[in-house]
Amino acid sequence: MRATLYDSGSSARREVQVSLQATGNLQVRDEQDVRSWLLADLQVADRIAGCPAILQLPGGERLEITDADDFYREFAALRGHGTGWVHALESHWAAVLLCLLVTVGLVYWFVTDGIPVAARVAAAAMPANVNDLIGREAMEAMDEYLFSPTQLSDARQLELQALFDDVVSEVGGKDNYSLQFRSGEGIGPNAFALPAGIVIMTDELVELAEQEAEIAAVLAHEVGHVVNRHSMRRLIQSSVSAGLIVAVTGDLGSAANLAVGLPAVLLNAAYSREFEREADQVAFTYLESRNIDLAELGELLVRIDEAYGRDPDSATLLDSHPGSRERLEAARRR
Amino acid sequence: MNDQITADGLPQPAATTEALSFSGSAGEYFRIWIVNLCLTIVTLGIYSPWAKVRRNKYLYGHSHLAGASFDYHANPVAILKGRLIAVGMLALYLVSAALVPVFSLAIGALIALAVPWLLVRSRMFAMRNTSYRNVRFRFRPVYAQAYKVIVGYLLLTIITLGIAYPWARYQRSKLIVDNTSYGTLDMQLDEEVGGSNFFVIYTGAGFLALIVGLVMAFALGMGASMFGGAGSLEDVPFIGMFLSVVFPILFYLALYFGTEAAIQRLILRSTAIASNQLQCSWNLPGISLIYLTNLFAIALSFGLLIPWATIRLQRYKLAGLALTLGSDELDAVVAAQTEEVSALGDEIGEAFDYDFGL
Repeated sequence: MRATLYDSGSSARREVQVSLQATGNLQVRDEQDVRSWLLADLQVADRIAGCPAILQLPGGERLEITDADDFYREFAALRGHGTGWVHALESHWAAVLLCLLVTVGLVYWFVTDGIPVAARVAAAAMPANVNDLIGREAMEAMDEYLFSPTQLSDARQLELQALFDDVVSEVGGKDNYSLQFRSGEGIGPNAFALPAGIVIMTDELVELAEQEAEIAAVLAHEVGHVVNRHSMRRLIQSSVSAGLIVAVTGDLGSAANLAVGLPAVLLNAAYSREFEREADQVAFTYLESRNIDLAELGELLVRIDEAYGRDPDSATLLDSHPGSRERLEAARRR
Repeated sequence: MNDQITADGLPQPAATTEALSFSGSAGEYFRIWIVNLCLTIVTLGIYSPWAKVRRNKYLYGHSHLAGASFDYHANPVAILKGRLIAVGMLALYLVSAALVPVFSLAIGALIALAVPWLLVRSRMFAMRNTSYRNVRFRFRPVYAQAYKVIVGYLLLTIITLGIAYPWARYQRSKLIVDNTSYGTLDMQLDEEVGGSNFFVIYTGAGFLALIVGLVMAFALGMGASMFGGAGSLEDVPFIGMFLSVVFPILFYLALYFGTEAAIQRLILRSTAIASNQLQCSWNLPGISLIYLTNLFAIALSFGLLIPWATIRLQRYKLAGLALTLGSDELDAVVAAQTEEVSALGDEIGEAFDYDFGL
C-alpha cells in the first residue's frame, strides 16, 4: 500500500510502501530500509471518510496511508474489529437514516412535550420568594418605561377590585394576588400578568370594555396566566429551547446566528400561543361558573384587535396570541 | 533519516505558487454531522466534544496544500472539561440574570474583563491542536499585548464614537497574525497594511449602504405616489413590498457579509508565513451570495442543509487561497516546542459567543 511518512519534529516527508503481515506487524519500506512495528503498539486514528488512514508511530512519526480502503480492510481482517464504530454508523445509509429520524423525532418531542413539561415541573418547584422577586423587578421596570399612574377614580378602582376578588376566589387557586391599575399610554388597551400574582390592567382597556363581564373575562384570563405559572415557564422554555438550538447548530459561525434566530422566534411564539389558550380555558371556567356567555372574552378581544388595527381572523406563525376568532371558536366548543 | 532527493541541488526557479483546495463532500459531511448530532442529543450533550473533534478532523483533513492535508488533534476530554466549566458559568449567568440582575452584571463584567485572556487562550488551544505535515501551529501567550490592544482600542473606539473601530479591528488582526507560527516559521502581517486600509473598506461599505438606502427611499416614494395611496405601504402592491422589505434585508445582509469578507481577504492577502506569501482571490459579490443563500437554505430547511452550506463555503474559501513559496521551504520546517493548553478559554469564548476569528 502506498503511504507518506512524515518525520517527527519537522515537515520532511517521503513516499513509502506499507504492508500488514499475518504476524500482526506493520512493515514500512522505502528505498533504503525496512522497518516493522507490532500493530498493537501503533496509534491508529479513527477513520474519517475520504481521508487517508493515519497512524502515529512510536517515535513521533506520522504515517498517512493513501490506500485507506485496503488498509482498513486488512486491518479489520487481522484484528477482528474495525476502526471506530462512529465511522461504521456514518458509512451505512440505514444507520444514518436512523440517526436522522432519532434526531428529528427527539427534537420534535423535546420542543412539543419535553421542554413544556419540564418547564411546568420546574416552575411549580420554584420557591415563592423567587417569584416575588421577579414580579417586583418586572413591575418596577414596566413602571419606569411603559406606564404612568392610573386616571381611574377611586370608586371605579374599588368596583374593579371587587370584580377581581370574585375572579380570584373562583379560579385563583392558593396564590396571593394584587390588581394594579396603570395608564398605558403607548401600549393602549392591554392587561398583563406577572409572577407573584401581580395583574396589571390599563385604563384604556377599562374604557374599551362595554360590560363588566368583559373585564371579568380578561381578569380571569390573566389570573389563568398566574395560576399556570406562565411567566416562569416562558423564561425556562425560551432559555432551554435557545440552548437546544445552539446545540444543534453550534458549529456555525456567528453569521449563522441570523438563520438560527428565525426558528427560535417561531418556537417562542408557538409556546406563547399555547399559554394563551391555557389562560383562556381558565377564563372560560370562571365565566361558566358565573353563568356568563363565554363569548364575552372574545367580544373584547375583537375590539382590542380593532383598536390596534389587527385582523381578528388571522394569526401568523409569528404572533404571540392565537387569532381572536379562533379563541372565540374555542369558547363555543365548550 | 532519509535524505530528500533534491533536483541536483539546483535553486528553485522563480516563485512557485501552491493552491489550497478542499475535497470534502456534502454527502459525506452530512452523515458525519447527523451522527454527531444524534449522539450529542442522545447523550444529553456529553458527546459534543467528540463531535467537535470529528467535525474538525473531517474539515481539516480535507483541506489540502501542496499535496498534504491539515489535521486537528484536540483531546475531547480536555474540551469536555472546558465545556462543563463554560456551561456552568453560562447557566450561572442566565439564572442570575433572571433572579439577581446585579449579580449577573458582575459575572458579565468579569467575563468581559477576561475577553483578551480568553482570546489568547482560545487561539493557543486552536493553533496547538492544528497540524500540517506533522508540524503543529502555535500562538504565543501574549496576554499583556492582548489587553493593551483590545482594552486600549475599545476605549479609543468609544471615545471617538466608533471612528477608531477600523484601527481597533486592525490591531486585533495584527495581534493574531503576528503571534502565530507554523513550527519555527513566524507569520506576520504586511507592514504596508494598516488601520487606514481597514478604514477605507468600512467607509466604502458605509457609503454604499447610504447611497442604496437613498435610492430605495426615493424609489419607494415614487412607487407610493404612483400607486395613489397616501404613502401607506398597505396600498402598495407586491413590488412595493419587495422594494420596501425584502430587498433592503437582502441588500444589507449581503453588504454585511461582503464587508466582512473584504476585511478577511485583506488580512489573508497581507499575511506571510516567513518568506511564503499567502494569496487570496475571493470575489466579494460571489462570497456574499454564498453566505446569503446559505443563510436562507439553513433557515428554510430547519437546519438540515447546514452540512451542505458548510461544505460549499469551505470549498469556495479554500479555492481562493494560495501560497507563493519563498526561500523557507515547506519541506524543511522544524517543529517548535509547544506545551499542552487547556480548552477553557476556547470553550468559555464559545459559550458566550465571542468571535475570536481574524
